Amino acid sequence: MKTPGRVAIISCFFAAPLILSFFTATSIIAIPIVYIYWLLLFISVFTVAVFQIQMFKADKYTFKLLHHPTNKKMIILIAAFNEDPGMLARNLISIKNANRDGEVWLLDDSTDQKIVKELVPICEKLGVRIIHRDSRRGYKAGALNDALALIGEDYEFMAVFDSDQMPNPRFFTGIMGYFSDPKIAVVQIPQTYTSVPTNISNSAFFQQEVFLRKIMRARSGSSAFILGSGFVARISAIRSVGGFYEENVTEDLATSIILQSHSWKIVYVDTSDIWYGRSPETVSAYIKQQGRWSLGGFQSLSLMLYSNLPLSAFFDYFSGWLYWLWVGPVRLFSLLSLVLFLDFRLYTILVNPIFFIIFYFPFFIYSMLFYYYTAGDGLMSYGIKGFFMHQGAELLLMFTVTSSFFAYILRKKRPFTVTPKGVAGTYSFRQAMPMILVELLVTSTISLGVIWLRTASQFLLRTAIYINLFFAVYLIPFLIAASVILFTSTYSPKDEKILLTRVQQPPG
Amino acid sequence: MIEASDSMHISLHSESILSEEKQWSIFCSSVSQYPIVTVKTRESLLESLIPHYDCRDDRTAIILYSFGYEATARMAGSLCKNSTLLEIGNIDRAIIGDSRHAANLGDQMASEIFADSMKFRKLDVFIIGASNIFLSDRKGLNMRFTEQFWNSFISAINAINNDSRLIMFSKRGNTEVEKLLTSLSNAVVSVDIVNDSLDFQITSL
Repeated sequence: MKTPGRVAIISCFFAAPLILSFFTATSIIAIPIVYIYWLLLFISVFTVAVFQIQMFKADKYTFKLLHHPTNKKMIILIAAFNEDPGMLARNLISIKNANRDGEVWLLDDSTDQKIVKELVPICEKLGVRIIHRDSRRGYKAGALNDALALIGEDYEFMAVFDSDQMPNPRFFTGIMGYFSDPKIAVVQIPQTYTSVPTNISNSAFFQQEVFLRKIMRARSGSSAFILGSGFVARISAIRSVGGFYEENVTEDLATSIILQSHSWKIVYVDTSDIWYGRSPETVSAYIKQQGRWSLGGFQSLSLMLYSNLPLSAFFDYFSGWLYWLWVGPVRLFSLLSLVLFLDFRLYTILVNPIFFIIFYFPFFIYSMLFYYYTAGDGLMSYGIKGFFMHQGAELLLMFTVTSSFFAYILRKKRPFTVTPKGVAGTYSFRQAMPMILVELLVTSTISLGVIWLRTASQFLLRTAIYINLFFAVYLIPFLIAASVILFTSTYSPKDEKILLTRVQQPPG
Repeated sequence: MIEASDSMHISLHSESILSEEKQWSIFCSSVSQYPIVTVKTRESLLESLIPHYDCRDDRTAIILYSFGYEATARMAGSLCKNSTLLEIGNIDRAIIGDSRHAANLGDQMASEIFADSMKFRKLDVFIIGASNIFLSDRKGLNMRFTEQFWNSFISAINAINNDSRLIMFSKRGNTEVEKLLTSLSNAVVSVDIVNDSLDFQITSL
C-alpha cells in the first residue's frame, strides 16, 4: 500500500471520532472531551481486532532453535554508557565464552573518565576491543553505525547486546540456521531476566509476557521488530538501509520499519534461557525506560506512513502506536471526563446510556474474556497476579507517556536515556504525588457519584451515573496495584541473590 | 600397573613400590583426559585428590562446595595453589517456579564462576557434594528442574571447547541426583585406598 492510502486510513481513524463528537457533544467546548470518548472507543475496537488476529497467528507459531553448524563469523557489539565496570567485566566474560571465533567490541560512550580508565585494562585482559567515543552523536544508533564502518569484510553477521546482558553458548548456534534464507536480515531472541528483585521488576516482567509470548510471535517474519539488543543481524542488510536510524530515540523500532519496507525479514525466535538481562529495579528506572520507548513509538508514525510497509505490517505497527496513545493521553483524559461528570455534574456527551450499555458493554466483556482466555493458555507466566501487576504498572505510566506524546507533538528533542540498572533506589514523594492525586480524585469521584445517585430520579441520568461509577470503581484495584508497586519497589544491589560466595583462604 | 579390563573400563592396582605421591599423579593424569567426571570416593580422600589433580600455573582451580563440606573443601583448597574456594548458596532451599528459572540458575552459577576467576578457559571446577545440589518446587525435589539446572550449568561451562574440566564429587547425597550427574559425565571414577595403595576404577561413558 502506498503512502497516500496509509495517510487516508490514519486520517479517517482520527477524523471519524471528531465527526461523531461534533454531533454528540453538548456544546462546542465539550467537543475535545467527547472526542476522547469516541477515540477511546475506536482505539479499543481497532486494537482488540488486531490483537485477536495476532492471537490466531500466534497459535500457529513454529519458530524454534535450529542448531545448524555454521562457519560464518560473527562480531559482537556491546553498547555501554557510564556502566559499572564490574558488571560489564562479568558480562564480557560470558559474551567472550559464547562467541569463540569472533571478536567482541565494547562501544563505550561513557562520559565518566574514571569508568573509562577502569574499562581499558579489563578489556585488554579479556581480549575485547574498546571503541570509546567522546561525542554521543546518534547515541546508541550512532555508536553502532560508527562501529559498522570499522567492521571488516570477513564478518557477515553482527550481534548486539546491552552492557547488562549475557548470552550463553547456545545462543548463536541455535539461530544461525535462519540466515540460510537470504531475505532474513535479523533474528531476534527474547530477553530472559536473571532476577526480578522488586515488584516493579516483576510488573515489567508481566507486562513483557503478553508482548513476548503472544504479540511478537504473531508478528515474526512480517512485522516483528528489533528489541534493541539480543539480536543477530546480517551486516549487509543493515548497510543496505544506511545503518541504524539515528533520528528516533528507539533506533531499533525505526530501523526495523525501514528494513521491512525494503523487503527484509525479521524473525523472532521465542526461546527461553538464551540470553539474560536485568529488568528495571526501581520505579524511576522503569519510568525512564518506558518514557523513551513511548517517545520512540510516537516518533515512528511518520516512518510508518512514508515507508513501503505491507498493509498487515502497517496495521500491526499502528496498533502498537495506538497502545502508547491509550496508555498515556487517552487514559488520562478519559479519567478527567469521569471527574467532570461525577464531581462537577457536567454533561458533555449526548448519547443514550442504554445505547452505550447495549453496544459497548458486550464488547467490553468480550474483550476481557478473550484476554483472559489468551493469557490462560499456559504459555505465559501470568495469572491474576500478573494481570493486576501489569495493569498497575501501566497506570504508573499515564503521566510519563502523556508527556512523551506532547514532546512528540511539539517536536521537542529528548536525549537518548539509558535505563539505569543495578542502581539502588526507592520511591520518592515527587514521583508518588501524581498517583496519590489520581487515587484521591477517583475516590472522591466515586463518593460524589454515589451521593448524586441518591438524589437523581430520572432513569436515564441514573443509568449514566451507574455507567460512570462502574468505570471509576473498575479502576480502583489497578490503582491499588500501582500504589503497591510504587511504594514497595525499594532496591539495593546488596539484596541480589548470588549463588556463590567467595571464601577467604588462609595465606600460604 | 595399569590394566585395561575392557575398552570402557580401566582399573589400577598400584604396588607399594610407588610412592603415594606418584600413585596420585598416575591417577590424576588418567582421569584428567575426561572433561566431565563424577568421582565417588571417601570424603577423607578428597584432601589428597584435589591438590594432585592438576594445579598447574596456567590453570585455575575452583573448588565449589555445598552445605556440610566446608571443612573438606577448606583443607583441599589450602593444599592446592591457584585455587579459589566458593560456597554454594542454599539452592536446594529455593523454590523454583518453572524450568526457565532452573536453567537460569545453572547459567548464573557458571557466570559467577567466570566472573570470580575473570576467565572462562582452563578452569578445573571441583564440586564437592554435587549430589546435594538439586532444585525443588513446592512439593519437594523436582528432578526436571534439577536436570535443567545441571544441563545449563554444564553447557555454560563448555568444558570441551574451553579446555576446562568439571570434577563432581558425589557421595552420601541424593541418589537420583547422583544418577543424573553420572549420566551427564564422560567418566565415572571410584577411588579408594586398599592395603596402603591406591585402587581406582575409571568407567568411560
